[in-house]
Amino acid sequence: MTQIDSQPDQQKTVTKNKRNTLNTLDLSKRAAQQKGITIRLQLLRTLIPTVLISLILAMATGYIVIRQNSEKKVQKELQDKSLLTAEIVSQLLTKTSEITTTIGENPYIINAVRSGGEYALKEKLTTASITELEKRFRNLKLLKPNSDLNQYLRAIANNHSFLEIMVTEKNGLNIAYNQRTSDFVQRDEDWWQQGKNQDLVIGTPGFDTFSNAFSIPFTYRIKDPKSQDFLGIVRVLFSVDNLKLVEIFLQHSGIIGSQKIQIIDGKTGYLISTIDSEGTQQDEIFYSNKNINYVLNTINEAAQKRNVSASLIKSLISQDTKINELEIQDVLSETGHKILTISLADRGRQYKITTIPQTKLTAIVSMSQEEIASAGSEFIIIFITTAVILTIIATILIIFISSRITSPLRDLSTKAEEVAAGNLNITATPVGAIETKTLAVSFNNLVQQVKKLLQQQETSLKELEKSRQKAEMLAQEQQRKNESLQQELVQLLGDVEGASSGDLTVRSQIVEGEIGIVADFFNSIIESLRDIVKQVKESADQVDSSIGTNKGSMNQLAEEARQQAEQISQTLASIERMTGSIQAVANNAREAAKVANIASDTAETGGQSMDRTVNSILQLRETISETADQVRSLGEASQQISRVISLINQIAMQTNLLAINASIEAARAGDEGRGFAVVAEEIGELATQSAQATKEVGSIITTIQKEVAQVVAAMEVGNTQVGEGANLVEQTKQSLEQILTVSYQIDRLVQSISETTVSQAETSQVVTHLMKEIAQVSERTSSASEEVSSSLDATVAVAQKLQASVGTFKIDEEN
Amino acid sequence: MLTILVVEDTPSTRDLICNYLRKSGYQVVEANNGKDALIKALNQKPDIVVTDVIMPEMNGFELCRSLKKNPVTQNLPIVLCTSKNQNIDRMWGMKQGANIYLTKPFTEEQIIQAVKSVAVN
Repeated sequence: MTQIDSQPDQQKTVTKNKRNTLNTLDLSKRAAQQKGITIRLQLLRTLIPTVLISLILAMATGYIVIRQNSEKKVQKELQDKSLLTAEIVSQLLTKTSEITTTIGENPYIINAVRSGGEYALKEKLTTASITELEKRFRNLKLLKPNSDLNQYLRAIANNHSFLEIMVTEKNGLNIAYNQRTSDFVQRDEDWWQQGKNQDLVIGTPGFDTFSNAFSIPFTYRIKDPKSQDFLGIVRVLFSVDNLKLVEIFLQHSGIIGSQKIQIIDGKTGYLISTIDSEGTQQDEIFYSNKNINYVLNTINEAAQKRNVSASLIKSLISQDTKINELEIQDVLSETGHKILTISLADRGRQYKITTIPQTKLTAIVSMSQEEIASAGSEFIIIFITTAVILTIIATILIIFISSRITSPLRDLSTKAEEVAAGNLNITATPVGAIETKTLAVSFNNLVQQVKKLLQQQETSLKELEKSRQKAEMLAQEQQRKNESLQQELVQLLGDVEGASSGDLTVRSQIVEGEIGIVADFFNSIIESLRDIVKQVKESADQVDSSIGTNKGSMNQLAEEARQQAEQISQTLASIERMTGSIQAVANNAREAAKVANIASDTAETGGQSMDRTVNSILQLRETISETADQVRSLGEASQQISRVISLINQIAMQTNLLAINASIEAARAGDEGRGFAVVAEEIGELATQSAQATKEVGSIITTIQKEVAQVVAAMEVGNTQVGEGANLVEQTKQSLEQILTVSYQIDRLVQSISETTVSQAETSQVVTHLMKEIAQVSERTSSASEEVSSSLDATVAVAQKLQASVGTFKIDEEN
Repeated sequence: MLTILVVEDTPSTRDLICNYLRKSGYQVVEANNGKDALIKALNQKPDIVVTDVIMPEMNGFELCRSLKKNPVTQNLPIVLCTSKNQNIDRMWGMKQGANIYLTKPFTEEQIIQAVKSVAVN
């Protein structure tokens, strides 16, 4: 690239086309220079990170795997130690159990115990109190001292480092021991009561004050081999010091770093033994880690129930405490017992706990988690060193390979720069890899092609010049044509110019050119326009005239419609009034009907009264005739009275004569007849008075008779008058009946009038309604005709406008 | 004998056409331009019209249109005889109602043939 910049003179000599090509080449080169990255650098930039990243990844993976494996290994080791501890302790305890059983099954012991029991029964010791017994056997504290048995027990105790061995009969009284015990009667002790009920008991570890040491008690129930009856108990105290055997075993397997092995009584938390890298320690009596104690308690509680699975215990512990990485597994020990292994992390230490079968003891192996984690960390230095060495090797290799690839390329690029500068006679030699060889060959081909193309370009330039001249000539001709066309157009426009201002008489001249047809086309359009305008003019005239005639009749129609509407409204008013009158008539008729009803009622009552009057008159007539008869009979009676009176008068006259005769006679008889004469006188006077009275009665009777006659006459007159009255009443009654009939007729008439007026009123309402509708229709007609009239006006205006517009067009009247 | 109305503004050409037609036994009516021809077509009732296109007052195309517009003359066969020889001219001429479009220069045979062919129809 710097070569081109330093050779400006050479550049000036090349042709114009070549210069163009060179400029593009130059540009691309400059672009490449701006990026400025060589292949070597590119390889280094891409390959080294790739190599490094993969290396680091591989190493990191390796490191992680190794560390995990180491950690697993340490964990496994811890687990194994825990199991081993548990196994050893278990073996020791099993052995002790076996020894205890052997003692209990020894025939001498059985016999001694049996005879002891029988002796105690014989001596009635079974019912004696403990204090009494203790007092009685206070010296040797043996029921029947047997030095051989004691010797036997002492030998076993010494052989196996047991703290104590003792045998009691079935009442808890000592039979034999390895050394003198504190009590004679053992039946009040807990271990004795427990041992009585079970064949073999491994008791809770504790501090035995008598032997002044930590120990685990074992008891065996002695029984008759035949009858299996309870005979007595063997008790062995196993010293915890015996567990030092564990230390001896484990010291061989190696206790490293912070590892610690402990044996604990899970029930009480007694720390039985602690072993670490420095040997056996006895720092504390009780185990102090609360969480671990809790776990142990939980396991013991769970172990008392049968069929307890690891998962159940795990769930129990997980619920209550925050213990990390808790794992619990069931394992079968070598002796075939089921044991639990627990793994957990607490306060920075990893714990592996294993239960010891048949006891409540547990073996705990623990180690600092840091120490576990640091296992395998030494590998990291090896990995880093390897990475550095590999990176250096990779870099050297890349530089070597890149220089091998780039040297033929650099050579080729120098050649290409020369070609770009215009030297087309250069050829590249194919060297290096297949790709670079191919590149060199292609480069040579490319240079040849460029050469050929440049030659072809020159020939085609000449051809181009020729065709350009031809095109110029054509253009001139075209221009000429255009000018003539323009002229023709100008003429055409001049011809038809008048059309735009409405003169349709114009006509364009047809010429020889192409415009000729266009001109005639204009002509045909103008002709059509002319026809149209003519038609429009005629139509507008027709519209104008016909609307003029129509308008008059429309106006008249509107006026008439208006009059009709008025008349209809007047008629409507009359009909409404008529309806009112009909209503009044109906009301009156109703009133008349009522009156007629009253009249007929009155006439009826009158008729009834008349009937009653006629009856009264008839009765009166009868009464009168009866009275007349009685008066007549009265007249007859008075005639009889006058006859009686005339008789009485005759009687009075004779009486008077008699009285005179008597007085005459009395006068003859002298004085003696004087009184008689007075009586005779008196009688005479009475006869005279009677005559007079009869005369008066006679006159009275005559008067009566006269009056009776008068009454009879009057009666007869009355009788005739009554008859006349009866006739009159009869006539009146007939008149009243006539009145009744008439009033009935009136009632019927009035009723029919009323009905008729009602239907009339309805009809007149219907008529009113119809008339209203008619009025509306006529109003609408009126307004519609007015509208039509006004639209006709508008149409006239439009037609006139149209006429005016069409008038602006000028058309030849001849056409 | 058929009457032919010959419309041509150039006297020499008109004479030539008239001679050709008379020779072939047709009666000829002459007209100077379109307007003249329209009047004569109504009055003389020719059977065929032979007309030039480029003429003063009224050109041949307009004459065609006018003849076709009038019910009396609308069935009259027309032969257009012109120097306008482009396709667009022919198309326009036929559209205006011409039966035959003949371009100048023409021979006697051509014109007689044209007249005969329209006379048959």
